[in-house]
Amino acid sequence: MKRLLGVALGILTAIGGFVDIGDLVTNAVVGSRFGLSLVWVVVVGVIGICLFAQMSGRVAAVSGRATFEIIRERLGPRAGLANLAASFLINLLTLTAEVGGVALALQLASSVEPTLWVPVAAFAVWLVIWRVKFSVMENVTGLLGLTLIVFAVAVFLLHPDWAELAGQAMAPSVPAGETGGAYWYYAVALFGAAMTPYEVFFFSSGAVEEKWTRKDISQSRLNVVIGFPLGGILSISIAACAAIVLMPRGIEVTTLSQVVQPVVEAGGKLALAFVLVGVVAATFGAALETTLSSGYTLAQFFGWSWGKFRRPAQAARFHIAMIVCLLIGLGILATGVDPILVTEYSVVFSAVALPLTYIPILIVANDKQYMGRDVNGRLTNAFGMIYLVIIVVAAVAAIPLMIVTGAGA
Amino acid sequence: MKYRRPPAAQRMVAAAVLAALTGSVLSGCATMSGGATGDAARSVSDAASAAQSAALAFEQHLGERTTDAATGVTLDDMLDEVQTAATSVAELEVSTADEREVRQTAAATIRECSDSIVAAREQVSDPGVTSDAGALLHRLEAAADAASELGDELEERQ
Amino acid sequence: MTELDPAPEYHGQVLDAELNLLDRQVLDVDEVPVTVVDDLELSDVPWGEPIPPGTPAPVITALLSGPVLGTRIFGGRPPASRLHRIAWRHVADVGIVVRLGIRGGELDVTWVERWVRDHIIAHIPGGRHDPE
Repeated sequence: MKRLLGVALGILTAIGGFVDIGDLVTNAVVGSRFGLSLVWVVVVGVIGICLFAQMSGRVAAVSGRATFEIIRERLGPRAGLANLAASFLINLLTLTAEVGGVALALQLASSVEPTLWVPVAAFAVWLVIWRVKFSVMENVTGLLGLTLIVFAVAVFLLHPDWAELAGQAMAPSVPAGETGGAYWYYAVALFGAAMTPYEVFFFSSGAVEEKWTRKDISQSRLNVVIGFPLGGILSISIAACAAIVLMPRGIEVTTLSQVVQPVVEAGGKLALAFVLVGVVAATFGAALETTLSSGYTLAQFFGWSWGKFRRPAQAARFHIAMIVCLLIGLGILATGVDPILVTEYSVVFSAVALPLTYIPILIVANDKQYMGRDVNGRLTNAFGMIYLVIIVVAAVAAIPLMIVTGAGA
Repeated sequence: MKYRRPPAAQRMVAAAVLAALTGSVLSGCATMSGGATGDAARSVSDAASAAQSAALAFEQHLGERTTDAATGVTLDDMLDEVQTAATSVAELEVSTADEREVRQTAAATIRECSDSIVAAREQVSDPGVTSDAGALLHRLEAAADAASELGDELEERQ
Repeated sequence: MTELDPAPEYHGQVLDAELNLLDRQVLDVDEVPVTVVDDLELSDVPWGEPIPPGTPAPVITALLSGPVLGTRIFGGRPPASRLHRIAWRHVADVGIVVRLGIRGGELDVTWVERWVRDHIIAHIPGGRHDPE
């Protein structure tokens, strides 16, 4: 019974923790402009993150080594440092977007300016990282994030034309008034939002935090393989809500307040309450994960003592690095930059950076010295190679598409 | 097995970065198409989208289906969007009389969007101000529809 | 290029310095991360002189860390006084990590960690307690 509860909890937190500000914004923007014609990208992205997270979790469980230790060890100091710089900066951008997202969600609930909420949110993130146990942190934000299921409920309450939605999803085409360039730009953005690299840093480091061993692999595989696709359904619901309510009115999403409008249309104040709790939990949870990821990447590259299972005094540089990253994020938001804009850039650059983490993990997951008998099976490697191609193509296409389309305008 | 710093992977990453950079440089010259009319069309469409969103929020407010806080924030956000559109129209460089006329029409249409959003915003923060909220909603919807139409028309004309 | 004599027989594990040592995580006797092996220090070989036959091969004297990472990437060499050394005799085991037989807390390589701990982290309330 206890084991069953553990499995259920793991799956539920995986669902609730799947969505972050990148998924919320990108899916709503795409839904309002392209309907469900990009749903296939979410499906491709979710399968990819399952594959990738499962692989990095298995490497961490078997070898006890987290992602960036492996990157340094495999790529050497030069390429490793270049990789660290790129991954770290993009993670910092994502961290900034998540903290900004918390502030925007709190503004919707309270009408207090986001610039006033930003320091509160950043302080709360730090406090949780400083004092709260890893498992408590993961479970609370993951379970509260489940309230985002209201997006899926809203789809039903809106009584959409199911045939039309299915048509958009099954026979994708570029809607009138949009260009092919913008379509593919948002395809890359959606892919980056589903497969953000920080999820992998976090997943593998989390496995070390929770002291996984070989026998935890099957449980973690279950969490990923059931939890992430259900989280992906939440992502698709966000896009569907926007496609049903906003697209026919000619509304293109540019703010978080527009992301929740369809839910209000469907379920009124109660639904609004649910969605606000969900957005705060999802963005706050992701802010914790990205902040920790910034500490993980630096500490693992330089070999510092790290981990929330240690007292802060026993992982001093790890904690000071995270404090500095939060302060930098605060500084960026204090300039008054729109967090939604930061989010849109962060998902595209995430797509650019994906090969940097994906390739070393794929290599080490095949290394017998690390993995012993738990090296990748044939099926995993076949999928691994297909995704290698997809990831490299998306990474290469991202920046040219961004420039050609004026960032999707 | 002396397998370290996989050259294939490294070369692939280098190639990816190089290709991305080349792509950026090659496409760096591309600008938005359509000249002044095209720019005006885009700004008017942005304003139309924001006004439609504001109308939806105000309608939800009148139906008491949402909170004052959420309505207020949505209207403020949309007002920002409309004002950004107004600024970019005002800054358009026009060379012909035709384009000057386009700019004038666009500015007037966007102005009506922002005026009606401001009126709705006042109504939300102080319900005693206006008597006829229903008429206000109609005005907001009309402004949004006018902007949508103008946006489509300009889009075709460019 | 003259033929080299075949490498002498060794008893025990054969290590490839680049493959098994460089850029590996170093853990102390309590499994606490200490550093990453940024570089290695070898016993002196005279520079620019012919090496007389029968000279013993150089041996690794220490694992290095600190500014040497920068010079390994960008070239050059820091003064010997600035190298942070972990003497080779403290190395207990080399696997996918390098394990030391001593505690890392007192080593030179962890002075920054100690400084940050004593001057910043320890002054923030809760810094010395377990998370709850």
